[in-house]
Amino acid sequence: MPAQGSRTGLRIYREYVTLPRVLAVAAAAVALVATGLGGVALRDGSDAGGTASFVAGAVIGLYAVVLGLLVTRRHPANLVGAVLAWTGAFLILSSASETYTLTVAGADQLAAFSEGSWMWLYVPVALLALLFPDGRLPSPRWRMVAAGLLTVPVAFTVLVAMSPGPYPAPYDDVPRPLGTHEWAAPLAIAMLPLFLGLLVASAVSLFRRRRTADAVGRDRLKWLVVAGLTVPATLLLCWTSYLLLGDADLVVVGLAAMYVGIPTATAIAMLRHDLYDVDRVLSGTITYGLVSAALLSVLTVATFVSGLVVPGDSTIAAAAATAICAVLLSPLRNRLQRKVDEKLYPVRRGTLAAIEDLRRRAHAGIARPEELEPVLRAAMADPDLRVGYRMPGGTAMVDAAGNDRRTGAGATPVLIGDDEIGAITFSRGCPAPLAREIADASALLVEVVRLRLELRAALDAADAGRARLLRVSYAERRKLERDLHDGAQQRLVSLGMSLRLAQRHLDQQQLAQRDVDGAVDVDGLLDTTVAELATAVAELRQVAHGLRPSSLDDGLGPALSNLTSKVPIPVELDIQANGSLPDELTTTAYYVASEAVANTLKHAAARTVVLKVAQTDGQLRVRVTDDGLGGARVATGSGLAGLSDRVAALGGTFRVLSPPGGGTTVEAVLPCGS
Amino acid sequence: MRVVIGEDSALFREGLARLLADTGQDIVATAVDAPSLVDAVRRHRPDVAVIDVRMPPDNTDDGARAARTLRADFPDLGIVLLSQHVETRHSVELVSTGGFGYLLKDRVLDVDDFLDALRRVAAGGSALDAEVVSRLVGSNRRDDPLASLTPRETDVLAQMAEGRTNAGIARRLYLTERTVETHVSSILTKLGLAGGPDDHRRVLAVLAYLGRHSAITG
Repeated sequence: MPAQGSRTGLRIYREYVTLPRVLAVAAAAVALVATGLGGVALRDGSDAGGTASFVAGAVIGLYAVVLGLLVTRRHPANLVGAVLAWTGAFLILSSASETYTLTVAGADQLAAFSEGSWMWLYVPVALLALLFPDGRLPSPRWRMVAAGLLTVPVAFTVLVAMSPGPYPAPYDDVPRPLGTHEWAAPLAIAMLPLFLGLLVASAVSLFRRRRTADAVGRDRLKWLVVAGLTVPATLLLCWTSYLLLGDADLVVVGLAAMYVGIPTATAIAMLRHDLYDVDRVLSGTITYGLVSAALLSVLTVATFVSGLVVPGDSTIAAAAATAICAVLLSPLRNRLQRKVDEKLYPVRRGTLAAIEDLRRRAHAGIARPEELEPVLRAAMADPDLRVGYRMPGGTAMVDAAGNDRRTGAGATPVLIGDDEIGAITFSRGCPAPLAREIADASALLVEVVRLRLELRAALDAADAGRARLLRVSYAERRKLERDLHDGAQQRLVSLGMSLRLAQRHLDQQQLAQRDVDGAVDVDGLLDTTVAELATAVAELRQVAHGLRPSSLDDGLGPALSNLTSKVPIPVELDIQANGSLPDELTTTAYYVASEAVANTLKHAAARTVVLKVAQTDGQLRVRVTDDGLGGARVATGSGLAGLSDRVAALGGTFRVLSPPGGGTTVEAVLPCGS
Repeated sequence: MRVVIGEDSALFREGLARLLADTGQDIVATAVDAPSLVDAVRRHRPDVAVIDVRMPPDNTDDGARAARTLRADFPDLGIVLLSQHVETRHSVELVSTGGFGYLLKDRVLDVDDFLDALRRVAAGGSALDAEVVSRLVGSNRRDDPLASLTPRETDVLAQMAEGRTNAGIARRLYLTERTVETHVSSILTKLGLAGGPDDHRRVLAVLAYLGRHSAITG
């Protein structure tokens, strides 16, 4: 189907043959041709200076062309790449035509046009500023500026070529191809302020754009501003050059930096605007620029003064001045960096300061390292920022409370050495280098938090284990107690009843033989045996009671009443435990009371004991107070230490207050959850 | 006496049934859990029901709960609760109402005393285990009037609390009935209780007193 095929072809054609592509390729072609012609011209003869100048121009120009092509390849509909390519093409064209004019016979006619051609070097840069970053003019009104940038240099070149007066050396005797006209020179001069106005307008367009740009556009613009900073940097170099060398030769370096810097910055902005943290580059550049300016000022003054004081030996003076400046400026740089950061880069400065502050407060014990997440959220104005901690030995991330946390694919890992100990997820775009810097600054806090988490998990596990063990041991005791009651005790009583039954059936004859010498007194024997059995049962009952007081089945109050009813000194009971409490709680409370009362009886020589149990605010409080000798201690292996362990296993607190001669208070506070 | 036994342990149940039968009691029914016990009493109307406190189905205090149910239905039924250990929750409260006994299981080994208690309870009297009584009487509290009793009076009080008559106490403590009467009136005066000729009501008053002052409440 040829029709459809041709439509498809047309579509492909429209898609691939875009104006920026065509322009970029054209620039590349022009650049290659110009390089070729320049090369040919060089072969025909040139001095070393001319060769170096051409080669430098060609290399820098080709660099810009290649970058322009790359940008166009990535953004085929964006004119920025094409303009970038033309920046290089113009540079090559300029230096090639210069070389060509110089070396090729008969080409000197071109000199007429090369005189005003310097203006073209600014055109691509100005257009770049105008079209950056989306390849479109800020608004239709700016078409005038663009058109001016393209027509004014043409007019200027032609007018300069027609101006009267000889060419500069070495073309003094070359005739002017378009003739000379008196009116051309003033007109050409009139073009200069016009052109300057167009350049300023292009620069202004960048600031207009900044106001309307989105985050990415703003990042890209910043890159261009960084590149634009090479312009004042060139001025600084000029200054330095005059100061140190006495002429402006170093400016060439600045110009080269500018021509390398602007395409580089443009390409980074268009291809990888998040390659570096542009804010950081910007603020660093400005800081270093300011420091350099300050250094040069001091140096200028110092050189001047020392020249007055120590005439003749300017090398020593310059060295001394430089040393003094370096010493003076090194603290200045940090302060300056902070100031510049505050103005240009508040997020980085604020966030790093907040992390540092938290670290200091955590060290001083007035803040918890777990506050890292809220601190970062506040400092970065990012309410959805998340910090995940990787538990040692685990793979999943948790938050500061130990709950599972998804950090997401775009998270920035927090590393110590090669170990990933956590991750930070920025929900608002954060440049990768800044993210890295924040993650590194947070690493110590993250490490502390995850270790604390691990410790807490281990302690929780230990606590849970202890509580479980205690419950199991109580359950075991309960089971043993029942087994004793229902098993052994019951069996012994049954045995006793059988013996009694047997005893009742002893025949009278056997009873009559009771008094006969040598005969066994069966009746008496059975009495004794049954009495022994009854004693055994009573003893078993005691054992069972020791395992677990059965009276606890009736509740804590009755059990404690039972306990104190056997105490030989007066006991004041005040029991206010209403709700039904878990078995391990009542059992522990009972043991606390029982052990404390037993201690009082054994050691305190007390006259009275007060036993108080109160259940309030989710706590069960057991307090035993006596008026005895005091001086009790919780020694290892003692009954009190055992109590302390039991109470701690349930998450309670246990304390003994026993000043010598001041009586003893034993108190346990147990959480009871109601 | 016509007796119903409620006890889940076969060994103990059969042993007790044989022993009581041997002494001439009429064991009209035995039951292995609380519901069947209530059924058996309803059907046979015995003079006395001997009930284990801990029984199926819950194996907690099912026997005691069945006893309350039976007491409400049969005011004249004698009920003796048996337990493996001293439980004060039910004992004082139930025994104070009369026609009730509460004894440790191993008391059955003293056959005569046990039968005596059964007869007392069947006749509407009381029987409270000596162990429980010793706890009640032995408790030490501040300002306790019990502390003002002489040792001999305390002995007599314990016997009263166990449910014995003056004659029974006299026999047990090797005293004359007259001496016992003197002690009893002294005890009642010291405890501030109203005396009376009726043994049973006197016992109830003593038990109520001990129960009220022992901080043992259901």
